[in-house]
Amino acid sequence: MRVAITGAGAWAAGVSCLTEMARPQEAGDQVAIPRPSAIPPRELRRSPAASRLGVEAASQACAAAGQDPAGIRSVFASALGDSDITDYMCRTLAGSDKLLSPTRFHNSVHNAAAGCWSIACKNTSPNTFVAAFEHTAGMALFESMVMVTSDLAPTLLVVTDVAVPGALADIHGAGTTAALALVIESTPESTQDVAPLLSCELEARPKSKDGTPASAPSSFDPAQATAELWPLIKAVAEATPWSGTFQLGTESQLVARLSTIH
Amino acid sequence: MQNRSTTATHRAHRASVAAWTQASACGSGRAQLHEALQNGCSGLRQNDYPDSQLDTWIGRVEDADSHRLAEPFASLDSRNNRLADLALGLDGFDDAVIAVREQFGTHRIGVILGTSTASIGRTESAYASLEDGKVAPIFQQPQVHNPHSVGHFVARRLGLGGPTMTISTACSSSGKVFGAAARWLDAGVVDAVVVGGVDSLCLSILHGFASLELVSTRQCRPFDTERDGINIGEAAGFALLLPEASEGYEYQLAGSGETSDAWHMAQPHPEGRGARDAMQRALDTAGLLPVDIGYVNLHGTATPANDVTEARALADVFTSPVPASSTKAWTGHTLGAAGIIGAVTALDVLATGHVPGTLNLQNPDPDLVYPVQQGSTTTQSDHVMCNSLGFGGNNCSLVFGRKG
Repeated sequence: MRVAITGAGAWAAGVSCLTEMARPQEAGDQVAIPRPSAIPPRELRRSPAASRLGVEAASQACAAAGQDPAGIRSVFASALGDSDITDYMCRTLAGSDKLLSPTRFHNSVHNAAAGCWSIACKNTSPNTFVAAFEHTAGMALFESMVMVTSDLAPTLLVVTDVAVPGALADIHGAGTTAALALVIESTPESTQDVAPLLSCELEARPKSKDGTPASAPSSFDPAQATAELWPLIKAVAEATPWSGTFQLGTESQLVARLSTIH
Repeated sequence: MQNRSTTATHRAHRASVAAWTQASACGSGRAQLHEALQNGCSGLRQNDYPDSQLDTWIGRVEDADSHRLAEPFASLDSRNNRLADLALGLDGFDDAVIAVREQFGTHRIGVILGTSTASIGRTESAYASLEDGKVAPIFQQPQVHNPHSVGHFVARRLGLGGPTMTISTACSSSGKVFGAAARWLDAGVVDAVVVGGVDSLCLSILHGFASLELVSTRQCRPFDTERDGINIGEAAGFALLLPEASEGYEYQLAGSGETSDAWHMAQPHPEGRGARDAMQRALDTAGLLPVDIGYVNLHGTATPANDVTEARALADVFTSPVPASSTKAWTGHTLGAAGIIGAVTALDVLATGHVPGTLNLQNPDPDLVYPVQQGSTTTQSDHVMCNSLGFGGNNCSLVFGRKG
């Protein structure tokens, strides 16, 4: 599969737009939850972290690609969803009255960010939310690329992480708060000459000597999908070649290569 | 910069349906669901879910209460995964997967499952049993406490190593798995896909829908004047999909339509715009006219808003009405599993010709602009449709047909 990356967006500690990615991160960098202008001010207060993060990164990527936010279809993804809301729900339900906030409940659906984006932009195209825990980054990229190559329609990929609070952090660690977005288009007819091209091959994943699938590197945090995509986005931002491998299942992987035309 | 316009194309992606099964409040396996539909026997009961005192009715899968995961999977234990495991053993489904596994190789078979709850019930239990504010060792299950728990479990339980993901778009989740799988098959990236949906009873869902005042204290009454909300149900269902050209299979996914309302997080578009466009797109991709459809399994949740807008959408698409009913008063609203239960019900109509009516519909709401089927009937049609509509304005309509 071969596609063009025509736009990208990012939000993380010390990063409020793509060009800041090149700046060295500093220890004191804090993540403020963005206030994307696409969301009306009266809705911002009720919009949870994952929605605000996703809409911000998505808006940046569409602007960079010159894509109409009202028309492009989208794939949203996260390894854990909105951990803030999961923690709130489980804490409240462990109590005696079990009275949940209706707004927080309807925002607990994992497609809340995708829904928020479609409502904010009046976008009636299909959107989806995919999760694959430790394989979320690769599966979200794979699903977007299949959509682009099989339907020849531009697709917006948005990946979010929300820092893990409360008891949930005993299980998953503290995590991080970040969002990344890419606009992916078919190639070459519809893309600008300068867009980086991403080639991906689906391959059988090599097995170790005892026949079990190779395991992920020990430094890898399964709960952080943005971290795994960060090097690719950084290469897009800096227009430098890059290659890497994403796991999709116990026996399959996506071998990705980014090339730039200059 | 001037925006370039984006016109999403809607290509037809089809797939052969090689095997399918279900477990719901109506029983375990296709035959039990058929029998319940044929006899008009609801699977609903008064709420007896532990630790919930809500006055409502629920669709509980009794067989899941005593079901246990085999030893290799014990660390993945949750009610949701037990329900998945239970259904995988029904109607020869796991044998059908073993057969294609030997044919294509485990790395060439994908897994796409839909859920809204995933194993959140297990996370609730972890929070209710904290020890000194910490999660107890028995609940240290990172592969369970995340939205993908069911995809992870099913891939391992079936020994599949291909691309594996979970779609979680609320109540349209396990409708959308069919469209995604058909795209993968068309793109040639896999040779077969296990699709399905699993949602399980839990406090989040029961008390969440109660907070929105959408839960009925009685058995739900879809499309009735007196309808006043949903009954939550749990269910698991699966289908094995192969490329369209595969020989020897009787039924296929003939078309699918996915849209967004772009209207409200928890309310459908008042004119049913998104549902209408999803149905129209499903017909277009199937290359069919409305009159070709012999039955529509409706989302039909029995909330005041869903039923009036879905009826309006139906009336716009099916200007000459075809039989259409809601089966939610049999199974409850199974949320993330609603798409697969609707699909299994639609396939049952194709296979048997028995068209279920709408259980508990006694006085059709005069504000509904479509004549929803009250009693059962029969059809010889080669095509059926099912709708699943979710929070966030996420809509999916599927068309299944007899292969020509």
